[in-house]
Amino acid sequence: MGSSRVASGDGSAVASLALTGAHKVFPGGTQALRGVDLEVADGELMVLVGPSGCGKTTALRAIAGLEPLTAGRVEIGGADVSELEPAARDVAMVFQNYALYPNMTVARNLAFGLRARRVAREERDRRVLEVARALELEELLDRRPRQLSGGQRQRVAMGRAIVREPRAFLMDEPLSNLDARLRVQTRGEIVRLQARLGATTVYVTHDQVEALTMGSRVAVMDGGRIRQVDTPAGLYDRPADTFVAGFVGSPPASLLRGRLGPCADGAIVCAVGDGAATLGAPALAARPALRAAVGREVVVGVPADGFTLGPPGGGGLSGTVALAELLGAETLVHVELTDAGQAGARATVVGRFGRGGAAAVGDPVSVVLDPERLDFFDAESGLALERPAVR
Amino acid sequence: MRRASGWRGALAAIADHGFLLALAAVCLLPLYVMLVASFERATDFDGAALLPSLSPTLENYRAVWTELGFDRMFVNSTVLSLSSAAIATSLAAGAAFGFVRLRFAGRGLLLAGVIATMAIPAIVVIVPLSVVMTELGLVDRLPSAILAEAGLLLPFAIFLLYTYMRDLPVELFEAAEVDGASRRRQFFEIALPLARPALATTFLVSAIYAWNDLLIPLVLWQAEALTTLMVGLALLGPSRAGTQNVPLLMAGATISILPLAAAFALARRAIVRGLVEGGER
Repeated sequence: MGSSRVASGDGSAVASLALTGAHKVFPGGTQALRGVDLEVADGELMVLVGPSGCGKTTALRAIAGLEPLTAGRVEIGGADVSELEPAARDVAMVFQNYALYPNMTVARNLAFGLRARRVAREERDRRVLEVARALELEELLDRRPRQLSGGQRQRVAMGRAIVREPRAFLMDEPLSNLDARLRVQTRGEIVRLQARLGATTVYVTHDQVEALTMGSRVAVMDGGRIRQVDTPAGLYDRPADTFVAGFVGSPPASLLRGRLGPCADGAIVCAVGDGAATLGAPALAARPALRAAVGREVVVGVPADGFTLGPPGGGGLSGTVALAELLGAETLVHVELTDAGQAGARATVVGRFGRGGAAAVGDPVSVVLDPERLDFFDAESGLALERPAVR
Repeated sequence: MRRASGWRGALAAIADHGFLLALAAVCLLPLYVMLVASFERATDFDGAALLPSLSPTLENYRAVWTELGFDRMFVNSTVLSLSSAAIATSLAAGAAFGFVRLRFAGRGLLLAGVIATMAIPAIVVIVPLSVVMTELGLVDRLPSAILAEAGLLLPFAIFLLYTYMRDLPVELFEAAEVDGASRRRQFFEIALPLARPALATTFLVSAIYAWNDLLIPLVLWQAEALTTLMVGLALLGPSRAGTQNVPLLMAGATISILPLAAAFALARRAIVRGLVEGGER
């Protein structure tokens, strides 16, 4: 994208956003939101991520005003806008399929919102041209949407939002229709653009890699609730529950059944299947709450870099290499555990290793857990035994 | 399409298409007879002959056009057809947009009601309609048949445009709403341009229906100055021409369908153009 200044810091005031106690029940009875609280600071890029049907798009549409809430409040810039029409909320939205007006040229698409808001013609033309320059759309101004490539359409959709200089941007999976290479490139462009505009942005995606790489903070949603709002590092290092642990990271953490027991020297041993990990003083220092859970069933989150592979025996969990996926510089190794810790259950741990250390499919191995990298969750509620520092 | 050259290939093609040709003949024969007969002299006319007359004449057309007043009827038919189609199409466009975009209590019921009225034939309402128009003092004045025709066309027009607009991508209207566009702007700048092919179809079909309609103008435009082609044709039967003058009747019939054929040919291209320039889909 060009270097010219897009939109201005001069007139438009960006604003904070908040959803409070948001509930949404659709006419058919589907509960899309079950009490969502979300605060987005001035100028922040907040990513909503979750599997399809988790309510992330509904939350976004509720902020835009396209979906009235069953209960709860939407605030923009500190003011309650729950009852306002979308037009009165002064936000811009980028739709998944762009929703460009097919009967209008690129120039008219860009200018549509300004004309609707009765911006004077000169001002309108100036802003359209400025945005077109910044997004490299100048040559395309006379084209119609169907004459554009996917990437160009995406830029027009972004431009149509930017040119309005709204108080906040709402983006609903704006990259999902692009091919993989363009997606990665555009991802970076959106982040840079957002930083330059300093615009409050809520970005919805189902792709956790996109979420982690883009968001200054990420809200992980599932089943109409927000499971955790945190920085990307916070999500990865301190998942709030088993859902977040099993969703974030590529590959995400493997979840195993285990039981905490006492051990000599005040250490705690966590038995998993036919193996165990001993948590000594350093591991326990960061997890004071684990002591209270001794004797209980837990779910152990094993991140992809949370174990090593050794020869069979030797105190690790015995298993067999089921799959080895070469990803260029590294290999993902799937190990099927012989004893999953539960009768009849099968469990697989997935780890990321350098090329050289990778085992071959069918090899018997021993999975040696790194006690410092493990996360522990309550077996019933799925909540982390250590509450993450940031809510 | 062409598979072989030479007369053998042509024969094979004829055999292949024999069924279709026979079918086409059944449809086209009456038109052919009409056309041929319209150029015969009344004295020469032989109902059984299929070949064109050796001494064709335009006399029938001249007589129908000038002496029987088909020139004026042509104008009346045009006025009735175009204005009632225009009124029905524009009102229906607004109604269809409302049904698609507005959520109001009783919307489904109202839509079902509108569509159900399509099943009511004009003959059922013609008497009350005539009474109302008489009360209003509109009988034998331009608005009576035009408004009545437009009213009869509305349910069909609403239905056609509703089904089309319902399938326009909803995000377009949501994007416009977030962009700050009023309903009015959404209607004029998005819904109408995108519905152009359906608007053309609706207008055309409505115009043809109104052009061909006999009942409404027969009852509401009884004045001779307001006679339409269909009414004129109906009156051109034995009662008016004395001994049945078939060639004269056929000339009138030909005149009455010529504009339809032309409209069809032109509008078909317009509809295709509308489709091509229309949506992204």
